[in-house]
Amino acid sequence: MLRQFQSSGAVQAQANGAGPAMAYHEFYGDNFRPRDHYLPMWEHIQTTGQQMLGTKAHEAHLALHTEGVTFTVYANEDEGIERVWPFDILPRIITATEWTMLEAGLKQRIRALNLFLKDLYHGQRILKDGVVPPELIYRGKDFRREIMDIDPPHDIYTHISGVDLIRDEEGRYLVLEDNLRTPSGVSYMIENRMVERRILPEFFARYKVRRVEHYPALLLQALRFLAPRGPDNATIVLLTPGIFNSAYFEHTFLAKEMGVELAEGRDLVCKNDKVYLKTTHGLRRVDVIYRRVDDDFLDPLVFRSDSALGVAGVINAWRAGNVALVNAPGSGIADDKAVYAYVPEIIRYYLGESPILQNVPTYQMTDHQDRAYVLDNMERMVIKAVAESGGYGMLMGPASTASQRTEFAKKIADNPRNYIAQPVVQLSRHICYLDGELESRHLDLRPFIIYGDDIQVVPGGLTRVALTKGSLVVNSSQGGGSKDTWVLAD
Amino acid sequence: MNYRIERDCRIQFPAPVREHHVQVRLAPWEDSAQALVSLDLSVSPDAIPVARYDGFGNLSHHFSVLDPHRALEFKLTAEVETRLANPFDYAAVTPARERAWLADSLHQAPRLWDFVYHQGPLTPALPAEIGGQPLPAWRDDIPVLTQVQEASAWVHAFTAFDPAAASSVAALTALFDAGHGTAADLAHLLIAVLRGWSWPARFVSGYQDPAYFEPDDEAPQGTKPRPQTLHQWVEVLIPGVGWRGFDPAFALVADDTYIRVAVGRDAGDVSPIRHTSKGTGETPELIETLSVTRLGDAASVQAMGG
Repeated sequence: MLRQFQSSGAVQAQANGAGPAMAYHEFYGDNFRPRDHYLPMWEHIQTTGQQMLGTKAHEAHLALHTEGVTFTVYANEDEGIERVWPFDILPRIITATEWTMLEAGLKQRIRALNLFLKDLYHGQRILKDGVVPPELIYRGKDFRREIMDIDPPHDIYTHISGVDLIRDEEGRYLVLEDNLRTPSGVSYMIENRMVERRILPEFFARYKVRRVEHYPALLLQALRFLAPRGPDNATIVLLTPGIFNSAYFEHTFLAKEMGVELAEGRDLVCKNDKVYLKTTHGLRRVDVIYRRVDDDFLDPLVFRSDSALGVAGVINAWRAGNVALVNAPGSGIADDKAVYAYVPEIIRYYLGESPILQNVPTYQMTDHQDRAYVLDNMERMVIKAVAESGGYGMLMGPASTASQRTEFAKKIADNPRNYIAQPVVQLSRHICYLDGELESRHLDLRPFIIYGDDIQVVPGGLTRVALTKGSLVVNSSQGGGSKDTWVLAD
Repeated sequence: MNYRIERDCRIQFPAPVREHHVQVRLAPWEDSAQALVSLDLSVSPDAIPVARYDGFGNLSHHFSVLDPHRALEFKLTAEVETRLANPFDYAAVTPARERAWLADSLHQAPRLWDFVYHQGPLTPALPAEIGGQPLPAWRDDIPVLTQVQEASAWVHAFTAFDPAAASSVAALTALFDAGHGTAADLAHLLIAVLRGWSWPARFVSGYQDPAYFEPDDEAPQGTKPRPQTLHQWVEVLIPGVGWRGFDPAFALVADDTYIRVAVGRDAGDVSPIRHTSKGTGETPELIETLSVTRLGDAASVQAMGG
């Protein structure tokens, strides 16, 4: 059964087989006139001249280069793995009204997903009530039986989430995917803002832009809140897989900004169900681990036994309530792309509310009708492996070759639970300053949500841009760039 | 029946290791069919074992030795009372109602789905036939118990239990070629067949009465008993009663001569020993001994106690 929002419109028309509609433009309204909230910025560009942007873009690149703001790609062995973070200087601006709705929608979603995780790993009421098919959970790669019946501190599983939003052809915000494991990108959100503030103070003078730079402080507060021995003097560590991880820059950035220890697995040791940090002054008890190591590698005693990245015994320490793990292991099942299709029902089930933010319509490959339809219309679909992220394991129908489609059809037949399909949504577009020209490119938005004492949505997020003309793939690992994201105060 | 179980294990390294963490699943289950009378686990070098139950209900213990050492030893001593003298002593559900009974059980306890859905390298989806021989197929109107017993007998006939085999054949396809395998291999094959019927089946590891290790009647006189080892079999959800054990290695239904230790989707969930340490990375030697002794039936033990 196709799961989609209750509404008519372009996306649904597309799902029904109509041709692609025109993408929504964030910057231009009717008649190619900038939308009202972009006018002050546009007037400034008009006054100072467009070549000013070239100078600023150059300054921005230099600043990012000097500060070592990089990301890592795995694809090409012949080149270095680090790249300077690609940044477009023209900010994306979100009005206060729009943000109020987004914030409420994101909080609602995260609250429901946490209740869902708590339920899945305990009583499984939602499965008994037939709201989510047990097959999706029990055939899901990221459902972790090893953590059954464990009570995480304060019943919170996803302390840090990044929810990817797109806008459809009518400008409606839709959730594209939830990232509930170790979402990355927040350091780039902050770096983007710092660079933007430095090189374009005159833009900021024309707007009341809400801050994002306090994210590390908010995160630290949430991490302290989780400390089993209380927030005062809690020892918090950020557990990184190490320098070869694509988000290593972010790990060092966040550890530095929060003033917490950056540790690798070998720096920690468990004893009597407690975790300790090895220091020059001996062992120091650890209260909270912000782990950026995937579940599989977290504890060789419980998950993959060949992992050298994790900490042996850490799950037992967590079970005993002696340490908090952020995010909780097992959270990945709630951002599985097949489970995603049920999030609107999950919200209704646990909260008794209508979802504020809608999903992109999603076809389940375990459903025979859905599958037949998708196989007949592969050129118009995005097909995704359910447990992959970062744009890996994906088929972009319109850009695919016949042999790629045949290959995916076979993969789907072999393991239908592992794939979902969505009609191609023309992501909204925005102007970018590229090689001296103003060009429109597709983009999405990843706001970050912190769940501590309360749920807080940082006003902003990471706007990712598909820098290749016409492309809908925004992942930085696949040639994407980024923009500063402004949420207006009023 | 009462049994004493003594299990010694020594992990010997060629060079000293440190930060050695061990998790064992060796203690018998406790439920209405099996009672744990006593349990003791000692470790050397000195460490405090911590007990916990995993998501499948298995009792496990973990402990750690952080200081450098070349050998780690532990000894588990348990006394257990098994009560399933007659596994068929229950009110059966009629064949026509069995699927409904199963649906209701799955509805009440969604965790059972694990034993229906799980497929993996050890218990893959099977084709309808292998080497021209059809696999046991589901038949309506035949009691599940009968069908499972027949499937177990089929596995037993198709692949011989090889008590001498040191390690699992692992891949079921290789099992067909080999024609023989370990008790775990045969259990996996039976599980794969039953899951193909969408019927819950789970992997069990445990101990057996010492009689199973005695030489059979055809063995030459003076043949010594086989060394005792952990055994593996299958449990199937039987309508009207719950889990019942079936042992394709011996073509038997598990009764009170079987002592359950751990259950899971396949062998991966029940590993008796998992451990990790820091050192030179060389593979340690694992020296294990097992002794299961029958203490006589419960009544006589009680009488002795009283």
